[in-house]
Amino acid sequence: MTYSQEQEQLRETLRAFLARFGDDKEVWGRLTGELGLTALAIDERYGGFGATLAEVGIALEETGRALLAAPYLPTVATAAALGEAAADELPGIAAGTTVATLAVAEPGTAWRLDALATTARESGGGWRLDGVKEYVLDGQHADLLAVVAEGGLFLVRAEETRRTGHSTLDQTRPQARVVFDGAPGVRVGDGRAAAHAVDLHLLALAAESVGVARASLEATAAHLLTRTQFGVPLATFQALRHRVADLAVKVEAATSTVWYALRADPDELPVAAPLAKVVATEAAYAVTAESIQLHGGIGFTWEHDAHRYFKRATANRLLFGDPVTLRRLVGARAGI
Amino acid sequence: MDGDLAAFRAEVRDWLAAHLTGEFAPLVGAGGPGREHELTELRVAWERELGAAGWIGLGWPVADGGRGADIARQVVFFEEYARAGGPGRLSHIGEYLLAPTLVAYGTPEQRRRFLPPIARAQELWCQGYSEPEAGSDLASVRTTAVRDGDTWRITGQKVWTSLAHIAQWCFVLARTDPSASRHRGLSYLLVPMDQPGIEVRPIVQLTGTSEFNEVFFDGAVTAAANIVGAPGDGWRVAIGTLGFERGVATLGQQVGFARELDAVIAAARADGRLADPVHYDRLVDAWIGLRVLRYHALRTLGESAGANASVAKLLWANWHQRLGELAVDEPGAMLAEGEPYALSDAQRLFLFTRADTIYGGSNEIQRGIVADALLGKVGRR
Ligand SMILES: Cc1cc2nc3c(=O)[nH]c(=O)nc-3n(C[C@H](O)[C@H](O)[C@H](O)COP(=O)(O)OP(=O)(O)OC[C@H]3O[C@@H](n4cnc5c(N)ncnc54)[C@H](O)[C@@H]3O)c2cc1C
Repeated sequence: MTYSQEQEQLRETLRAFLARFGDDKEVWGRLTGELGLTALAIDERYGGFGATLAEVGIALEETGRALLAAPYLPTVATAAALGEAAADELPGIAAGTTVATLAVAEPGTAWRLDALATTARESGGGWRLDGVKEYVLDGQHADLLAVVAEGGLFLVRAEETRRTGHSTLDQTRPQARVVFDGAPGVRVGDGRAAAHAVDLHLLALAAESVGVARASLEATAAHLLTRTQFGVPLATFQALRHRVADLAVKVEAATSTVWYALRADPDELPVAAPLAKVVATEAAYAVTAESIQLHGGIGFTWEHDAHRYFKRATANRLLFGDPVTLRRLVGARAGI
Repeated sequence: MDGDLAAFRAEVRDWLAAHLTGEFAPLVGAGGPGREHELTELRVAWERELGAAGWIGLGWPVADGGRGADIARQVVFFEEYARAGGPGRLSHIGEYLLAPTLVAYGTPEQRRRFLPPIARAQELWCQGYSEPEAGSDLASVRTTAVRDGDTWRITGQKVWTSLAHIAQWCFVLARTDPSASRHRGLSYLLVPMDQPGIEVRPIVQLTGTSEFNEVFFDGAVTAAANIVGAPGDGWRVAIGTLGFERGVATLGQQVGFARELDAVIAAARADGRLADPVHYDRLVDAWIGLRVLRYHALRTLGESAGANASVAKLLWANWHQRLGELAVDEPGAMLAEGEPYALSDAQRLFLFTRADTIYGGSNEIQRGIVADALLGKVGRR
């Protein structure tokens, strides 16, 4: 069986919840408070439910499907990356009072881990960080930043940094530029831990993209079934049916790939995560782009949701490495 | 459980190592799509060797002469078989298409009569569905069968019939009631090939070799009992056969794909193409695509055939075809290896994969099934 009964139940509960409160201003408080969604994969000792990445993946698919505008993805991916190394922070994350995010990309070099300019120097028993980070997801709302710098992974309190929120193409998820000017930090991991944190974000974006793609595909199918032209529903035309079938193949392939990666052995993750990210974000991009086409004029309007899905898919495709970059990474890690 | 599986794997591996040698050594890597013409007689002998050791019908119920092996064991067998370079199978049409059909729709007598010779590779089968006028539109078959005393008498023509030239039996979709509507007048008959009323003519494929045939039925006979399901129920049975998708076999097929991909990457490395970023991107994409095939098979394993079987077919057929194109993306591929038309592995892969998107339900037909699942059947013409 592909998903357990509990997992299916989680999916249903969350889908119903997001359908009801997805656009609510208080959605973050409800998600973390009433549902305890950020607590899902956190160990019970720290106020979590002790579930696995597979459950987090389901939650991400659902938040992607709803285009949730709340800092769920960076918070849970960062929490998963930190684990015990940030034991003090986990209860806050589980309770939803701490929003966490990962700062990796830098101006000019994007997510290239071999070209980091951000430095960390030891000072008085702690560390001081200097540098500039770009494209930090929900950076202006975050309380806690996990920072990839020369020499490893560091934790920095947000108030120790200077943050500028960006206006974003995908308006459902804000990004920030974060400046570290001798910001005090705690070292929580080495370069491998930093790479692992990035891999977990790739995986999270992949899972979310499956939800984005599936929602967009379903909306497109519904439109073809209801919109009538030439006296028949659009779904009658084989040219369109086959295009929808090709999109469905991409979505199923992406679902399988993410399903596998969420259950992969930790030593498989360096390949499985970027691979899943490529497959799922390319699927989501293809589906959401084609969705606009198959909706016709209405799909080009501000009012219709098609462009919101398209823009989320576009951002997800670029975040933490575009497909070309990630294929190169997969190739290198696979020894090709 | 896992220990048992490891022991089973070792058993398969040891058996293959001990038997794929000596007289059978030339078979390593032989046969299979595009190479079915190779070493046919020796491969038939190999099938009997497999059958005698109980490797055919691994997943069938024990009562039917199988071993009742679970999916994990069947997968292990395919993986090890492919890893050992086991030759392309000749008994697969009986084992994977007819046998499950008989288990699902056949009578106990039919199962007793036909399953054991399949398991021992004493009788090879071919699939008589397609006709000159009935391809994707299978329900329009024109071959007829009429009752004549204790027999059915069959007249008509089948085409593209793989391995008909070595098969002892053919399962034939024929029209038994011309007055009934298209789908209702069909029957599923089991017909012996070695008789005066049947003529098999090979068809040369674009590879220059031949593995499929035209089959002419001119008053050919089979016993009245050799009908699966009731007269007029043939469409349901025929579609049932198509539903016994390759299933677990796909994971074994993927081991063969992996070998082909390795060869394509090795060739690109040897001639420097791998260093070109555009080529590199395409080859890594192929590598990723093969992983996706695997993940999809693992996620959907054991699911009953449905839209996901069509998704899997579209995924692998397109992937394989793309690999064939990557394989010949260098000028040397313009030259044949020798006279009269000897092809390299890369050229054979390239040419044969054009068929992958046609047989077993073409890409267009598979897209139709996937679309039906999403959009309902409105307007499918
Ligand atoms: C290597 C090989 C081995 C084979 N082995 C066997 C065998 O052992 N036994 C057997 O019975 N058959 C066998 N076949 C036949 C195979 O099943 C048919 O070729 C296939 O079903 C297509 O039928 P057709 O060739 O008549 O093409 P057609 O059905 O005429 O199709 C021609 C083109 O039109 C497209 N098309 C058809 N209908 C539609 C539609 N409704 N909508 C959109 N597009 C459509 C098809 O996809 C295809 O691209 C084999 C074929 C090959 C290539």
